[in-house]
Amino acid sequence: MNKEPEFDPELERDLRALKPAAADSRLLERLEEVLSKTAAAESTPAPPTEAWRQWLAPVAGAAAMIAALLVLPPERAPEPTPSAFTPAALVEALEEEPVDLKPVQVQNHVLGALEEGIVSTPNDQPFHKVRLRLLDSFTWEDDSGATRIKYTVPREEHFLIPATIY
Amino acid sequence: METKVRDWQSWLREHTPRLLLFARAQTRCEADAEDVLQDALVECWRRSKGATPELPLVYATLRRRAIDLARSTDRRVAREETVVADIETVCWFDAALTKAEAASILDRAMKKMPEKFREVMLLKIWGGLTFAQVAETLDIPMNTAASRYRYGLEFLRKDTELSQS
Repeated sequence: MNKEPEFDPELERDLRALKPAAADSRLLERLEEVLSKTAAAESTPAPPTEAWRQWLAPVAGAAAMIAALLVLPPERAPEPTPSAFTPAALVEALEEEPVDLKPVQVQNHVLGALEEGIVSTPNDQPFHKVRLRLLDSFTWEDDSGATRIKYTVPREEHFLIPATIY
Repeated sequence: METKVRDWQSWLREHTPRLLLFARAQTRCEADAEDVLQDALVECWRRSKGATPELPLVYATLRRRAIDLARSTDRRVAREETVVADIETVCWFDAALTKAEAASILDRAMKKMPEKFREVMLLKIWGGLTFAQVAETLDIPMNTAASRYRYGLEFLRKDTELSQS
């Protein structure tokens, strides 16, 4: 199947000759049924309004909280009535008047690099395998600068650097 | 979509025995092995958008799911209560009449083998993965995968010789 090294060819051949126990038909039927149901569920799209609301609610909530902090400093803002600034009320207000956010900044931070040893490609070329851990941050802002959302995403990159083995 | 389901059905019939073998070794309990296999396959189905996935991806997903399951305290207690019975009764290998004795010896030896050697052995011999794929699946360097494989072979060689003597 491949040009992999064999350490004990006789034993390895004997082991390969013994097959894993067959899965019983009950398990196969169960897996087929679950995957069929998953396929059916995946092929039925959610109603668009529901998906829109699911997306908007958390984003609008976060935007509303940030907007309240930036726009309404305590010393200048009128004392809010308890009912006026509940999160639900702010979300409702934002749903009526959406905030138009635009990307303003993307940053990549390198958190660390890890040498994972030597690997070789199918044509026996050795490479150093290096794993790089990064943190990407994205900032979105509305035109007035009053509303800003920043989120960060951890990420990994794997590099293969040609190596020379003596 | 129907074609994809048919592809999956034949893929399942071909690969379920080897995936279940790995799941059994990762969970040590039949019910958990089946649950973990099911969860991993559903996750891979979603990730591959219904296409049949690459085996290394399925093995890696299986392993991650098994680790998640083992971290769940209540499931661990339940598993520990059933593991003894399962280990005794469920043979991991095809015990057809002509190979029943060899399958039984191998079954006992694999269950005794240290886990870090066993998972490499299972992926390499019965999973059909290359050392590079084994290393990627287990998140270890390839040289480590190769040396664990060699130690696993030595363990089996010694253990099966002892069993036969």
